[in-house]
Amino acid sequence: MSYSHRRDALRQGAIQVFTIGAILAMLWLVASLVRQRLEAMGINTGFAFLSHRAGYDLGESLIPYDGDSSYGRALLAGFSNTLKVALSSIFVALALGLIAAGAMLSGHASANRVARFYIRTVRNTPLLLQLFFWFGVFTISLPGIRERITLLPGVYLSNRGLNFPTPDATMWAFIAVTVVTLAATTVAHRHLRNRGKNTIVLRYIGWGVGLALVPLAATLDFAAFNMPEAGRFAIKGGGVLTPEFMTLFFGLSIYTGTYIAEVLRGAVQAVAEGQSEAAGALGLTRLQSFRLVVLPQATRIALPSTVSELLNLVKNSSLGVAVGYPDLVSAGNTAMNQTGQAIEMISIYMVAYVAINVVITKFSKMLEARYEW
Amino acid sequence: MNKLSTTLAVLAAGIVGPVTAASADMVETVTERGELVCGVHTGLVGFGAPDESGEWQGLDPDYCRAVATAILGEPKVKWVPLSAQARFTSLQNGEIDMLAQNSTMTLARDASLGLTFPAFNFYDGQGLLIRSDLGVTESKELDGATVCIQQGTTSEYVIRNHFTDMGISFTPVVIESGTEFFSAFFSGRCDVITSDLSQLAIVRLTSEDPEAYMVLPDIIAKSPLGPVVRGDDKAFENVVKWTSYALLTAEELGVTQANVDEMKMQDNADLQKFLGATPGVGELIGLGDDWVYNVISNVGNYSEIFDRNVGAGSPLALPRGQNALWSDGGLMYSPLF
Repeated sequence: MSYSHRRDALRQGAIQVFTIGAILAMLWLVASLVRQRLEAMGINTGFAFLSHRAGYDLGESLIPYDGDSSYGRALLAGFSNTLKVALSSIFVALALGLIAAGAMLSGHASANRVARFYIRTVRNTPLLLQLFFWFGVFTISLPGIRERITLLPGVYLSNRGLNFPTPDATMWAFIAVTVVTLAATTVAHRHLRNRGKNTIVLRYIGWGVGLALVPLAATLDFAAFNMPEAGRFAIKGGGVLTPEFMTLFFGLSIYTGTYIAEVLRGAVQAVAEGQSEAAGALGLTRLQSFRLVVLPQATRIALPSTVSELLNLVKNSSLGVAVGYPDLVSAGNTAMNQTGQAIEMISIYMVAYVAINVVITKFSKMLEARYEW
Repeated sequence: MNKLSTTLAVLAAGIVGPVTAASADMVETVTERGELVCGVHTGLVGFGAPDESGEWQGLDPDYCRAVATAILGEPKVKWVPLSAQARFTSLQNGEIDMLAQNSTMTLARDASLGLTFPAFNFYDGQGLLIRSDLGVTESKELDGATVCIQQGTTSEYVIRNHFTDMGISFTPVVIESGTEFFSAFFSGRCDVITSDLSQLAIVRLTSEDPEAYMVLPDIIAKSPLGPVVRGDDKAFENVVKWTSYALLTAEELGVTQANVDEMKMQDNADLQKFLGATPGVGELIGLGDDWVYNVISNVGNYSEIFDRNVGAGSPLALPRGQNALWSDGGLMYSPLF
């Protein structure tokens, strides 16, 4: 390394250190000024409240929570609900986007028209309005518990949500054993095959275990589900998707699906015509040319925009507060209201959403790297 | 480096500045601005809702008018409708001068938010509204019920304590938007909504079929409502406090919007001082001596405010009950002027 190069590197480093230092100093200055000011106004500051008793309940939670838990746990419970609705909506939004993009590219006039109608109406109305619409659908248009709709035995739809049976402990154990066994043999099988080893023994073992599970399954009491049962006020037992969850889930996935559809359509159309023509000239069929030539290139184009739509979906899940879904913001707003510590709460929201989105971005970077050539 | 510290200082001032400005002398600020900025309900008939001309009407807005008149001599108010969730933050950061939005006084709100509740303008209680056809007569029978709760209100923890004390369970649905809160109940998403009794009475009366709904007899918590101000301006706090007392004292003395001119001329030392014919009532709280006179002639006394907004003179026709004067067996009591 020459002298001037070293000097440049040194200067670059110094600038970076100085910039980061200045930003940190500014943040510290602002934080201490705000703190001073709040204390002068008699407003509590700090994060000590996180360990205090919350005293309010949440309608649903993925982790054990009740009103005797701390504010910190209430936020964690809210965060679990945010993850639940965001992740499930991401999958459905991607699926909807894929279907709608496929319909537009298929060349079928009616499929094209349906997809365009879906995109035009849903993309051009505000999400909050759509959430109110779905909330109306799930609360006003569905009947009460007593007049509930029975979709399947044990599966009920009412204005209290969608109730369904859940497997009990033994069922779960059985499912877990089956899944683990299948996964383990598949992985081992692939591993050995890739090394060119003989896999016949393993295949026999896999079949053997699979066959052994059949009589075991027969001895299990398959009626041993936790069945939902209608009480006076609520349907108890089994699992439930609440109207609030379904509102947010439908709203977010259907809304984001339109954007993803447009991104995917644009990406496929952005792949130069010559590529599929060349593939055709090489003797590939239309399907092969799409799968092997167009799709890999389109995926690469679509990834960054798709990921930003997914990041938007995660952030939009905070609109759940308007329809009573106990997400992070809803749980936090109550805490904010009871403790008055708005600045602390807002910074917790920021950290939480940044954390989710950093994970999604990292994941997409990994995918992008796979499509790099 | 010097430039940097200047930049930092300017940035910091930009962030902290608005907060600092809020702690100025409010009486002076309101006088200079020529209007009081008052936070009110987004829409609760009787307690704060816009009329056809966009003016806010109700018990709380009338308290805004009374305070504005005490300072300015005329009821000039800028209305800022606020949700239950946003109201205290708006007051804390100086967006509004005073909050009059059905706010219950609690220890935490009074002691840790940097706010203070100078007076009460309505003694309420928290209750439960249910559909009559549930066949429930008291809250004990509500085991397993779904309860809709409005976010940012004291009812969020009151309801939990009530159900826990009775040893029964419930599922909460906490909704921020006022409209969605009520529609969730009327659509049957919840078996119960909980809120202040006055509010439940209003919701029931303004529903399509009031007979289909009933308020349970259980009063699960006290709910003293009143205007709220920031805690760092004693002078302004006093103005709000004594304006409230003036409305009560006026009722006690029989001074009304209609007879205030006549009463001021009467040969009665208490009345003359109270209404500013003789000096003494203004100086101590930094106002003119005619401030009480102005308030009553513009807004009326407490019973007039009560009657036209929520009482006999309104469609709601709520009884005075515990909001009667102490001399009539109620809780409304004013110290001496």
